[in-house]
Amino acid sequence: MPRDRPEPPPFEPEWLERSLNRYLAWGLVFMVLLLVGFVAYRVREPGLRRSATRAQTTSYTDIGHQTFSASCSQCHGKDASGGGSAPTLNSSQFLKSTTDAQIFSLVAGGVSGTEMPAWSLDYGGTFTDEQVRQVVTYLRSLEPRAPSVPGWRQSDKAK
Amino acid sequence: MTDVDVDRDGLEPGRTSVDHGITARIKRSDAFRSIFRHAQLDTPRGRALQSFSNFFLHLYPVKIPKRVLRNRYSYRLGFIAAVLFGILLVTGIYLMFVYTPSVGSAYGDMQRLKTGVGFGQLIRNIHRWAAHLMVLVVFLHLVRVFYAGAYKAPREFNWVIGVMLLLLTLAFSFTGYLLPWDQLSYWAVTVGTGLVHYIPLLGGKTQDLLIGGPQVGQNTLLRFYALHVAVLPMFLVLMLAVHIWRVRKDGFAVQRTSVGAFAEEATERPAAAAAAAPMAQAAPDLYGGRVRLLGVVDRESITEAARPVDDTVFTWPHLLVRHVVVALGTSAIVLGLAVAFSAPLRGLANPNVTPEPAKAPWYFAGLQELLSRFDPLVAGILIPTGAVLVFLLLPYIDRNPDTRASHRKVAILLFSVLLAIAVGLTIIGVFFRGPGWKFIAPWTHSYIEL
Repeated sequence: MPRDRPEPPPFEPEWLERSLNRYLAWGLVFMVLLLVGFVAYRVREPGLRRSATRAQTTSYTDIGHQTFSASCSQCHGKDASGGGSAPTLNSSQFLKSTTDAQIFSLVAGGVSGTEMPAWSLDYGGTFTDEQVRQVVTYLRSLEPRAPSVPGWRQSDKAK
Repeated sequence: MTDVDVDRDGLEPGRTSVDHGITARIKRSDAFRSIFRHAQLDTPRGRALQSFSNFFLHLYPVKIPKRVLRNRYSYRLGFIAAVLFGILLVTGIYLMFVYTPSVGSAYGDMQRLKTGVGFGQLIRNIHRWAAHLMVLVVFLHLVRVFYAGAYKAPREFNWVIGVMLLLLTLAFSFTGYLLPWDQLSYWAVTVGTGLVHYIPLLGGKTQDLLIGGPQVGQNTLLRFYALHVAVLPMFLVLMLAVHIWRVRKDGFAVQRTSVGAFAEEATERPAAAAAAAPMAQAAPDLYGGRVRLLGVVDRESITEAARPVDDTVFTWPHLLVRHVVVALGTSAIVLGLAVAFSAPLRGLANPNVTPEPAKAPWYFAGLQELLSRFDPLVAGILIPTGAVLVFLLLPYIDRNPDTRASHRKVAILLFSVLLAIAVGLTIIGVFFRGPGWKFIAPWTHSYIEL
């Protein structure tokens, strides 16, 4: 490329440039480390989440069971096995046909036209969302061993 | 050739032909030149223009003395603290998206970070580690500034701002401590706010104001949350702005090299000192008797003739690159800690079950240790308040203008003794105290929770 005049001499000492380059190299190293850190976490995340979810399910099941015994079993029977005025929740028919979100809204919002009140604090009840979630987790934990109760809706009257 | 001409033809000096390469085309485009207003010229003028034409670079002087480039100069602690604050802001906003300050859901939200939110636990870990490190780094920054004597004129007021920033940092950390609403946070805050009770006359009222009820509960959580995400950030950002602005105003890297004169070390020369002497005599009452050469007369007018060495380097790129690299390094360390060590989450807060031992956060462990030895009024109120007051007013108490260590032995000795006591008490409180605040050997069982 043609030039009018020669390249001006470097206006900064060489050691300064060298030290700058050293820092730039460190910058690259740190960037790689940051990337590696995020990737390392991302790789481990599913496992961490699974074990956290397992631990949470165990504790929620226990707490949910206590809450259920204190507040729900009068109508739904001990361990949700029916016998009261309300449906038998420990039944494969009920648990298989209902999602967690549905159980959550049934407990939180109640069922109009029945004795089932709204339990959530949001609707005048006494449960926090966390407590509702714990009850849901407890009921869900019954599913693997739930007996078949075709007339679960009528509870003991159907038996 | 004016500044504009250099840009308009898109040519670097010395080049006559037009480059048709894609980068050159982009650089010639109106859009590019409306943002980057000057070509990147490897000339003194070009580099100075980089600073002048950039809003953010106005935080820095255009040129700085070489010694500022050395890590030993300040250990970059203030800058690292600012970087940590940046990390805390970003991760804090992420956490705000998934957190509700209610006793019914706060703990569940913490668990959800573990079980359901992408990168949730990692972000929480980063936030926690950055917070711990910020307390530590801000404190080390204070220690460094003390030993350097950098709180002396003209930086007295910036030291005061700095101490306030330390207090704000502690308040930040303490209010954030409660938010997970687990046993650890609940009892740390119960112990911490319990101290307020010992303030004479106002203790009860102040405690009510702080925790909003007879014990730590929903009101406390909401108050601490509001302080943590709104009030404290507002004050900290404001004070930090003043702090950095004053660093710049007080001459960035200018330091008093000798008593009575105020000169840039890099350009210090006998001629300047000689020229300053008559000025000092002529105006002895200026600035309360402290004559500042820079304030009295334009430095250039005296020193233009005698400028034998230029010991300065350009901020852009030298200091700026170092700062970016330090920021990256800080982030990498925080991330490493966050990946390796998870933030603790104990059981749901329970006012009826006191964990053993119930410890305050580590930076208050020294205070807790002190409390176990003295009357609460003395250890919980008088000593901390006195210490804060002495630190706030330090530049006005220590009137010795000399920054050389050999000329301020008493100040250094006193400070070192206090520092050793504070660090010692903290170490005992953190490592050597077990259930019932009984003395334990840390190698038998550790009760440290970060």
